[in-house]
Amino acid sequence: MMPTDLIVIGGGPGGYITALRAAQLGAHVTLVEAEYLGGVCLNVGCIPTKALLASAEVYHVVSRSAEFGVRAAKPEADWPAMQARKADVVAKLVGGVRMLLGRAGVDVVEGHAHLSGPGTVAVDGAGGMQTWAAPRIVIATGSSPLTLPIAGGDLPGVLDSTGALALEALPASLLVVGGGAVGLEFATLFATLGSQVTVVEMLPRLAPLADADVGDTLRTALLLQGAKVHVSTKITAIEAGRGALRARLQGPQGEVIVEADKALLATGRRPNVAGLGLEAAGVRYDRRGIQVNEHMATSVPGIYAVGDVTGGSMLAHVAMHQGAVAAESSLGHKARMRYDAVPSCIFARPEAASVGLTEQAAREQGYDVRVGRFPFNGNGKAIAQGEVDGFIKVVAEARYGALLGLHIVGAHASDLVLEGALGLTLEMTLDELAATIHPHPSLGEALAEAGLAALGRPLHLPKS
Amino acid sequence: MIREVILPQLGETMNEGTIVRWLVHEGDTVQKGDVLFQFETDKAVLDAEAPAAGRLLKILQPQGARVPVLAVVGFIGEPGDVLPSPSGGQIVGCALHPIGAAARSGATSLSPAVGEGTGVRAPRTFASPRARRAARERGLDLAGVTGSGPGGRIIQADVLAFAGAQPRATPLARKAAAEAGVDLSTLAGSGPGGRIVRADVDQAGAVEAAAAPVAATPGEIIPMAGVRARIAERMAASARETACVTLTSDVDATRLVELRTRLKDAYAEALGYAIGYNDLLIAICARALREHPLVNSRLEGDSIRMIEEVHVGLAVDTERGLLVPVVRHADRLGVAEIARTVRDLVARAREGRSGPDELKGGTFTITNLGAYGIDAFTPIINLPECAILGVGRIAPQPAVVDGEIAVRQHLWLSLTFDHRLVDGAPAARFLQRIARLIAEPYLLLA
Repeated sequence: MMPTDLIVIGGGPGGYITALRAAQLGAHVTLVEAEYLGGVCLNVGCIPTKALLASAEVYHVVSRSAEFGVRAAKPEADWPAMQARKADVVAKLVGGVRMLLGRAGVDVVEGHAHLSGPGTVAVDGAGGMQTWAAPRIVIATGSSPLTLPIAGGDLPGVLDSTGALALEALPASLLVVGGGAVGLEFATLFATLGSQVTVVEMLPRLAPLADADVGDTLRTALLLQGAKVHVSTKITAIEAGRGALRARLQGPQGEVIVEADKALLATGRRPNVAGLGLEAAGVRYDRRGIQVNEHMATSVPGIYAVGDVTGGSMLAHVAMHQGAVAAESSLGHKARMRYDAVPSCIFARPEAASVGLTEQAAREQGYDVRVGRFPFNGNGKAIAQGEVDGFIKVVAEARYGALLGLHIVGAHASDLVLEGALGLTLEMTLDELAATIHPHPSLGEALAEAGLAALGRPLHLPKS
Repeated sequence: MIREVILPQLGETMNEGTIVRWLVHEGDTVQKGDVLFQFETDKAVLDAEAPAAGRLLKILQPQGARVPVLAVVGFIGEPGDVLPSPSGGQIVGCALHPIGAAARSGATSLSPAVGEGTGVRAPRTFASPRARRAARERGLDLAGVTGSGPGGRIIQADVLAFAGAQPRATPLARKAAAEAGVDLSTLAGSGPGGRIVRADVDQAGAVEAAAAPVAATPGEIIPMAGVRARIAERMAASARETACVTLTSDVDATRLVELRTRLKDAYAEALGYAIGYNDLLIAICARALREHPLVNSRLEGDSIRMIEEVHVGLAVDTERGLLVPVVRHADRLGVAEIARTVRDLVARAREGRSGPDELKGGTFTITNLGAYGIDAFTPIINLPECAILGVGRIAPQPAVVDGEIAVRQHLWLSLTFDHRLVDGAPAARFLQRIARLIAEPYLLLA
């Protein structure tokens, strides 16, 4: 039995950050990874989709080059080359994580781990079964795509996100089931590259977790890109048709049949809790994940859990933050997790990004809500660079002018939203937003204007 | 040149200090700024630094001596210098560096009246005109300010930094504190980098509000602040804005009592807590709300919003005043889960550690005064909700069952609803449904 200070099970964003932070605090850390360092995020999630979306964006820009006075041939999508570039990006980042862990002195062990007794973890790896003993164990095993229990869900051509990333050729047509972040990103990717895309969402709106205005804007954008969108619609079955899949949809207009070469099921993820020996160890969990407190501690002293396996929003940046909190609190430092300023992004075209409360949630919580909006078609930089779709929406409360939420649809939304994340963390009010000089010309000016609009005094909106 | 070493004055109230120990011996060579000795006031232990480079020629006041402020305690010079009389030579002020945490409060009130009545000239400090003006405007003594300019000269920024060494707080916390009359310097920050955040201010306001009645004496005037002010504002708004009607009903709770006793006996050990009446009532109300969505609504402008989620609040009396932690999605939780959630929420509310969403967003509230022997009452609606259920005591009473007199457990329910949103009959049906679920709690399984 090998002793160590802290064992991390899982090398995704939550796990590797736990390991790095714990090592920084002086602990001897052993990290066990079953498949690939960097987890879903780096290997088959956030990063590879962003690499492919970057290729799609270049394709899109070239296709509208004439608007900018640049003559270029009609672009062609070289899917295998895009895939090769994606693989390079992933390899580079995974190598980076391995290097960081190595430099930090973290022992990385390959294999499947499970809790084998109080304070012990058994790892089934290349060298057979080995056991580590540690007073602190952090579970960071992540999540897997949720499989829909529908007829035909196991047909060839029905993919999850991992399968869609590994496609060898661009599909002529694609059905995307699920209008959340993952579904919308793949819909954007393939619609841009010429596939006929159909998006099906069970709820009345795309991006159902985001502010209502965000979902409506993204829907319009997708329609303009030639995709079809069915909301308030359920998929009831997938059948093997003539050379293609036939999906049966049940929506407000009754049954609709959609034919598509491939179907992507992007209907959420489930925490990876199986095979870890949680029950035997007494770690409390349910189908939503392992239960943790604000210090990321589970029901068993000495055992912590971070990231998707704890359910919740299942975002890499939340997992990373939780990892730092778990490392600190397990090593006796004061740390706790807060969730009032968690940004979330949808990398569609245009991008969408939000942090804090939606307008509706703010009203439901009883705030006297003030909303300020500013459209990018009134912003100089956006017009100059030809990216005028979208808007910025500031949600604040009337009493102190405290910022409650920031919702952005538009180019570079994911970069712009962090002003709101910082603002919420530091409890900014509209006064500070108005007092902050935003550079000109920049997309950020739209944020300042939205703040002024919430105060009832926008300078760049025509008086109504 | 001979320099006098004096005991610095720290604040107007400091009259004397005790030399804790000398860190330098007579004859030792010191550099300007070296710590010569430590002295203790009634507030803190502080360092006194050498006013100039040279040799410590003489210690006049040994360790343990109690010395009046600004008194000469030693001399610095060069070998061969002749020691002057204490009132003669040039005195250069000692820069102060607080050691004890309590030093700040004293240091910020350093008196400009240095040297008066001691027969010793005020220590000279090197400071820019703007620094002097900034200090004068703020009533600060430059002797307490450490200079960062050329040659240790005090510049304006040093004064501003000294004056601004106030607690760090977020903009929202500052506004909330100003409104609630909470002194930020008395708070500990729980935000990023120890910043004082809104929750810290709220908690302080609440503690003050709660502490006030305890300390209150007849004739005293207690300011309306913190939780007290918010309760006042919300109760008055509810009384003013709602068209409230209260319905009461006497319910047979015999089976509820049996169920509660069994659940308690069967699960208390396994769960680590006992399931209580409030937990069962939350489950019952959540079920009834799901079945009577009209009551699970709120008035928004000139329309009624039917709320999809069922979030049930429970009024809790705490040291901080009345708080209403909210069990979110109570209709989806089992009784044990409700019980656990309620315990967590109440514990956090009592400690003032409630999360941002835990005390708001309810769609219905339960208030239970049964523990105080109250039967029926007229609760006030917790805006913007539509209704509130008042729960009285459960007590054995004679009742007619199947034509016979029998002893049954009675429970009075008082439902206050907003007649703007719901009419009497549907509200009565809602109360009737709650009564039925209490009388026959196994219906919860149906």
